[in-house]
Amino acid sequence: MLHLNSRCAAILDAVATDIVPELATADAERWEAFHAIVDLALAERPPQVRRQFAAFLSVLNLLPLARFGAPFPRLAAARRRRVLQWLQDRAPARLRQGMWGLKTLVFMGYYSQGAVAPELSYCPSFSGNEHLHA
Amino acid sequence: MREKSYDVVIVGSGAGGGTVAKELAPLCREGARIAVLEWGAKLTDEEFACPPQGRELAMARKLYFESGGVFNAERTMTMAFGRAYGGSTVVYTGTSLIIPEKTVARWAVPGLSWEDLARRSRKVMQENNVHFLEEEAVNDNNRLFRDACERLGYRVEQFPINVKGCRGAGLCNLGCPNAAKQGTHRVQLPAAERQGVEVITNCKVLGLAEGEVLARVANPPYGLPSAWEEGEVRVTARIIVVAAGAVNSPALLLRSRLPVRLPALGRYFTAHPALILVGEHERPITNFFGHPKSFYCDHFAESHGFLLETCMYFPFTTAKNLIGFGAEHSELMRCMDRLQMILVLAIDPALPDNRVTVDAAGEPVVHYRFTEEVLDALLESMRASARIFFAAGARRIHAPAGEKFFIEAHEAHRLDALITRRRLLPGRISIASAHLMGGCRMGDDPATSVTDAWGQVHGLPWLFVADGSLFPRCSEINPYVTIMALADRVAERVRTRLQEGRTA
Repeated sequence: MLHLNSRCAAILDAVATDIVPELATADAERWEAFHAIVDLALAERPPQVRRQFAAFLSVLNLLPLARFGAPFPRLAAARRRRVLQWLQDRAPARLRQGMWGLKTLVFMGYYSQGAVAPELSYCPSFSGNEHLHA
Repeated sequence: MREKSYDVVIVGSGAGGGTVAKELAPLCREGARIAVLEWGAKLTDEEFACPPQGRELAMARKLYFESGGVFNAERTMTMAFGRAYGGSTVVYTGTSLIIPEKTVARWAVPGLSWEDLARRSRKVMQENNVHFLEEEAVNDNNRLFRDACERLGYRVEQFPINVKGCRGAGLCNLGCPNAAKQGTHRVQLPAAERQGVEVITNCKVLGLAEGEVLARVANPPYGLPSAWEEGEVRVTARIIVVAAGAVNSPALLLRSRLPVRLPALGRYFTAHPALILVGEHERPITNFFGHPKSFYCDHFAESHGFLLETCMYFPFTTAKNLIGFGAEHSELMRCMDRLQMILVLAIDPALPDNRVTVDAAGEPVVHYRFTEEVLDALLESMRASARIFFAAGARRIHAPAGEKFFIEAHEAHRLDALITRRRLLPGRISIASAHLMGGCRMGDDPATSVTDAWGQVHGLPWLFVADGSLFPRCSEINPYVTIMALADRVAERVRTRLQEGRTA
């Protein structure tokens, strides 16, 4: 990824599988599409936002050290979930907002892939009215 | 630097700019030169026909500022507004309502009457082929909402919509692939161009002063190339009409350092903060087939400060509007064909500190904080929507302020305990806005308003505003028809001003 260093990219990949479990078993093509979408989204944001996002990933990485004695990617799934749940529900506003931004980016990277749509039972048609009474 | 010369320059081609262009177009026959400068691109019909799978991001990038996810400074809300030939009228659902009389009374703008706005609204609604969708074209998502509201005794109304030849693609918010939606890109702008108005796309206006506009043309890698060569251009004009929307119009005026003091400029910004809520049915319903928005419920507008509308969004938009992550989130996302959706719009107050400013580069920054009343309204809206979902037969629902991810049908009697204020934290739940209003509000006092009741900026007879930024408070309904009605007034005043110039 061009807009995240390799350390941040690794943290993102780890947390992405907690946010969208399907990514844990996704093939290389789907991961490639995920990275391309996230990278483009970061490219379109101001440099300051990219820096804030990278900083948030670093905080996420180190946050569990004090409580669990290991960085985020090395935690067991249940502990990772606890960390993310805390960031979403109870963290101070800035961290909460960071978590929201992280989730949004991961959802964008996965759910905006056209190939995913059939697995969501989502199959719109340009002639949708023809399907209304089928 | 290249130079161009016009009698009137209109900045923006959406509901406001497109209407002004069309209304002034007959003046071209008398020799008037009129240009519309539009930041966005004009997409081809082939581009609008981008396949449904994967369309969400591809079209959002082409049709919205920052793909529809512009943050407020507090990072608690995202704002979606269009950037294209046709502005936001390319990406709305075409819902066409006349502003309520009581709302105009609350606006309290001297010289602006509801009767005048209603008359002009009816005119633009006729132009735009506004009508009710026939019953057989109403999908389950909409029908379930209407029937449930009626069962619960909530007032529910059908939206008139501005489509022609709608085939029910359900993709209105990503640009209609069937050219059915009658936005300014299909109606007003082509009409204006036929009469001699020039529409210059891919043209960002950098600043303005009396008699001139500085702009830059840059073609993106999509859409038709601009009619002008790339690079900076100085455009002279006797009259300038700013119709760049409630974020970019105040920003443009702020960075232009106008020779008058306008303390209200950028202030009193309102947004109809919105939530997308979902209920899950046992079996598939028709939701992404058919027009997505047929009904609204204004039952709670006066009592609780919110409106409910039907809606149907796309996978990524849906995913980011659910709270949570992981297995439960994924489980809900895998049954999109069973989701019923409701859009909540909070009726927010116009406050001086909710405002648009510009940063050091002159780019807009939106400062917006939710009042306690707005948060209360959003909370109540989740409970009301849950009641509607369950009355419609949903097996379970998801509320962003829920104490748990799913609330089951058998828990419907405990909604007050299960959907709580402590869970409604800005920055935790996803709040969005697509109705951006205010910032150049109308009024007669230059201390608290920016323009008069005809859109002329106080003290500057050569400068007008013609978009949603004119609203002194929020519209309390979907705003595009009201923007067009106001733009129609602005065009009338500009016409008079041009004639005064000729006879002077």
